[in-house]
Amino acid sequence: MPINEMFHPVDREKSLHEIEKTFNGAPSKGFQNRLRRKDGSYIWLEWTTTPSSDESYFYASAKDISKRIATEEKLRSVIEDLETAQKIARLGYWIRDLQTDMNIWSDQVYRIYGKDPQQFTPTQQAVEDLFHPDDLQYVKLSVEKQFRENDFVTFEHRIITDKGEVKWLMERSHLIRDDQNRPVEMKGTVQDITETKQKEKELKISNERFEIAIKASNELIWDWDIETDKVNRSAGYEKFFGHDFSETEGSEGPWLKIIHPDDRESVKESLNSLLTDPDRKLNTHDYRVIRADGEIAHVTDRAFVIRDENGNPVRMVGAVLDVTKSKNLLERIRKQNKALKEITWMQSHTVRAPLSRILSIAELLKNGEVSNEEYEILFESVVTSAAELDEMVREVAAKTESLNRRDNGV
Amino acid sequence: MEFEILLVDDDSMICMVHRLLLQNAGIDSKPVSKGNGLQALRHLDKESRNPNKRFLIFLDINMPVMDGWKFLDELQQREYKDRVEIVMVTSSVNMMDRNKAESYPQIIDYVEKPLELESIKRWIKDPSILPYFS
Repeated sequence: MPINEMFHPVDREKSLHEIEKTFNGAPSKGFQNRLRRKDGSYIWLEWTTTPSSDESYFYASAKDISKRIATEEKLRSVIEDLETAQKIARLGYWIRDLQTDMNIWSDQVYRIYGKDPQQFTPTQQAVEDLFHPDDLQYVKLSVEKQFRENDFVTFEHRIITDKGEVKWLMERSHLIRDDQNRPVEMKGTVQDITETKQKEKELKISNERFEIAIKASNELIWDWDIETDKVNRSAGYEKFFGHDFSETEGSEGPWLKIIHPDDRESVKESLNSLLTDPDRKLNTHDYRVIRADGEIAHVTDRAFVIRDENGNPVRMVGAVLDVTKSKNLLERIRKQNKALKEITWMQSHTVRAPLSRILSIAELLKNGEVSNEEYEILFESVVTSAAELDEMVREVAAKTESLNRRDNGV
Repeated sequence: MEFEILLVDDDSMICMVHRLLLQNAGIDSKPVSKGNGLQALRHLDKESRNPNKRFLIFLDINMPVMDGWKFLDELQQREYKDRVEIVMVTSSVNMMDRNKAESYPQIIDYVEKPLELESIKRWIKDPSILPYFS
């Protein structure tokens, strides 16, 4: 088979061109192409050709370079992957010569600093000029201190780009020493962590807001990890009922111990019913707790359960609200209502008795005739009934007065 | 046929005034006064042995020992209950009491104290009440 039929179709034209060049008397070295084998697969060959004085033939030798080509391709793809990874991680790479204080930056470092590789020369001084002025001293001291103990250091700092943008960077540096143990260069990676920092800041702000909200609202927040049976409680607990809640014991822990004994079982049952019913998320329960000073506090405890994809409870978060004040107020209103009812009863029943006696006598005297003897008795009854009425009215007044005093907290 | 009027009230003065009022309205016989439901019931148990005797009762509600309601319940167990007419006379001004009272077949009226001549005149028009007044 003629050799030109064995060339890979893609390579055929340039291969024929190469042959022609050699016939014209130019030797060549390093030409690469693919040649079909008997089984139809291709191998990569690298050619060395030497023309003869007679233009009818030339010498050619070829080396199988298939393996080398495969390795190169693999390496190229690894490098591409690495570059992609660095881009995704926003990771840049730099080397600094300690003799010249000159840095070599990867493209990503230029991107992070917002600099054009054609126009910016990253001398150490030029780089430090981009550091946030508040961070420069701290970074220098911190790096020096860390290098005294270790050749690897990690630090965070801010830079200000030409556009005035502030960025947070995370640096990891490695100090390289020569065979006399003298530092010669530094290598490191740099990563843009501005977003993470921003998120941290936002989280901190929202946490602070949450803390303030907790302090302002009388509510105690609890968070029960059901799997480990640990409970985290908001700071308010420690001062709230005067008990120490530093322990993180779970459902059977210190909180249950301060619940009024008469309410303990119902609290357990209510939690249990929330845990075992996969359709329920929320539960509200009112119960009493005993304060450290022995006083009883009334609380409303609202629990929210978080379940995994199988509906099993994994976490429960709740808020305990101290409703003692409103409960006491309600109790006072109830007592007052009772007193008012007593007054009303007195008016409608007790007062009515002498009053209807007087009215009856009036009715009788208006229309009928009575004997002198009967008249005497009736008159006497009017007098005593009036006295009775008078006493009752005084009693009602006294009761109302005492009610007023109680209401004013006297 | 004999007709007896019974005044049941723990306030003896009320009993007296009601007696005088009824006498002024022209009742036939002297009314009998009882201080509570139990006394009234004992009196009726005895007097009702005479099968020709009928009773008109002026019944107070709030009384010690046995109140008006208990008396009414006890009365429903007696064989002479159909020979009894009752006027509830009360000092309580209560709609619930009025409705409850109307559920007893013997109740012909429900009035608040004091008894008035106008009410008595109205009752006399009832043929079953008229015989108590001459």
